[in-house]
Amino acid sequence: MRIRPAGAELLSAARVTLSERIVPHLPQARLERIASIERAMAAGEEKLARDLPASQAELRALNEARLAMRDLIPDALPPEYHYDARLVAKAIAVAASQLVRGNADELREVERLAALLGLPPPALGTPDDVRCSLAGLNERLASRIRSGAADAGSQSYDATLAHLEATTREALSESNPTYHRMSSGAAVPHTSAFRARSAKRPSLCCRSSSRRFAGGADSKARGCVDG
Amino acid sequence: MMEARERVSPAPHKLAALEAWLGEGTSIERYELLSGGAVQLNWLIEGTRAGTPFAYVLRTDAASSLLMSHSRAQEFALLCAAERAGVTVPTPRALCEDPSILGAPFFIADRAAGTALASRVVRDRNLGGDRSKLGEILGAELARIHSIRPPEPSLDFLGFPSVSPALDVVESNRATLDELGVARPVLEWGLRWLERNAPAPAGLVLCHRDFRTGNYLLDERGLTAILDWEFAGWGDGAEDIGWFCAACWRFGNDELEAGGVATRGDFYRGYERESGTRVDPDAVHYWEVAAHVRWAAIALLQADRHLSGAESSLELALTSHLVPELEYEILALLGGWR
Repeated sequence: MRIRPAGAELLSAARVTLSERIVPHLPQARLERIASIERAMAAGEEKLARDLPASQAELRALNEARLAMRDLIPDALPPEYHYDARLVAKAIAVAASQLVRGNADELREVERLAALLGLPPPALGTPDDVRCSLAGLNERLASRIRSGAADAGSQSYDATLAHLEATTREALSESNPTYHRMSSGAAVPHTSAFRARSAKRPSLCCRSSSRRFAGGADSKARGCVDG
Repeated sequence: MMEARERVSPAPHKLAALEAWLGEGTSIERYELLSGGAVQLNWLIEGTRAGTPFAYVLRTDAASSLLMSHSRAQEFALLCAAERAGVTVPTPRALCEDPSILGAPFFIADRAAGTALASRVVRDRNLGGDRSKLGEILGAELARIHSIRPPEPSLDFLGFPSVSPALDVVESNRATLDELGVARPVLEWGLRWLERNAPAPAGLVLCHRDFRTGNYLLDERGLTAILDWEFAGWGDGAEDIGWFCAACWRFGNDELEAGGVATRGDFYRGYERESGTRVDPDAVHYWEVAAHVRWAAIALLQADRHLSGAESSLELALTSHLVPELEYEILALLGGWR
């Protein structure tokens, strides 16, 4: 979750758009389809809000919902609401991407940041701990860059640029995996879902959570949000 | 950005007040919300006055206001100045600062024909006439905007850069990130580069500050109007050239680097011919970096409006997910991925 609103928040806003701007303008015959789209979105939202991976069936349902919002529903809507349908499809795409990717990118980013900043790897417990560490480490890096300590010619320039490239690749893979200008060398493969490093050390984090973690999502469902 | 359209019922008491303000014998027959953004609302009003038909766009404030943007009175003054300089704008007709008519100040201008919708503008070759010529025309329009220079008494509300146009952009975008409390190292990377490479202040000109595809109207024959003047101010003219050519405003049509509609060569040629000055590619490169940083900061601001509950909107929420694309472009412009 590098960019807020995160997937759960996006799905929540998208469900409001669905009920307020799309459903009132659809013919009766399409309402059953909308109900299944709504169910898929609600299930995804719940999993994301609780940092749990989605089942293969749930990911498939989300992908079908996205395709329906993109290709099927607009045909039944007055033209002035096509844009709303596209926004809902985009929200589903970002959320599904987050469900598939979990927080593996965030864990990698935390490790890279700690190494770049010369800090010991932080003890991480829950996904909230990871997010919190990430925020703190990014603040440090941001102020280091602003201060000029990573300027061209400095010792940390190359390592900083490499970190920023890696982080941007991962963030793009979540927000827009098919960004048309991304060179193939910059693309990053999909990885797996929520996990936390086992951490015996006390957490340094500002928030604590008793959430449980679950293992990887089904790999067969990966790539469902492409295109 | 607002592309969704909807019809809103007119409030009858406001319509009557507006008819009276427009003059005796005015009858409004159609009243339609053309586009409603977070900042301004645009209404189409059609009718007759003393038997003569008219079609105006009425521009007024939305209930809430997103960014530091000009008041309607100031925007009206900008439109008038632009028209005097020969810029193709919707002819400004009248300003009303009395909030008792519609509830907020507003101005009216002639309705210009055509579409601004960026996705259509870059793809529909029936619009805008010959594209090479269109690029030249857009360059010449921008040069005419930049022919407006201080002192200009009608624009005395515009502030001047405190240090230099470039360093002011660095400072204001850093302030935005700090206010939002979001640490974005790539944006800081861009801002630090902008700080270290800031050009010396040159002569100030009127910058439009949102001159891009999506903010001008085209019909089948060509350009019909330059729109959206609310961010204009005194600055470095290269800022507008960089904004127009930045990768984030090509709407998928990357081969045509000038706004997705023309080559840089076409656009620069039109600008140079009209202004009599050369376009400096290094200066444009500098301002393209600045363009991506500024758009990213605005995108984060828009998401914050959604997250803070100030304006719940899926469109605003999704805007923040453009930020990684903008960060990608910043790194690419500054030597990334080599």
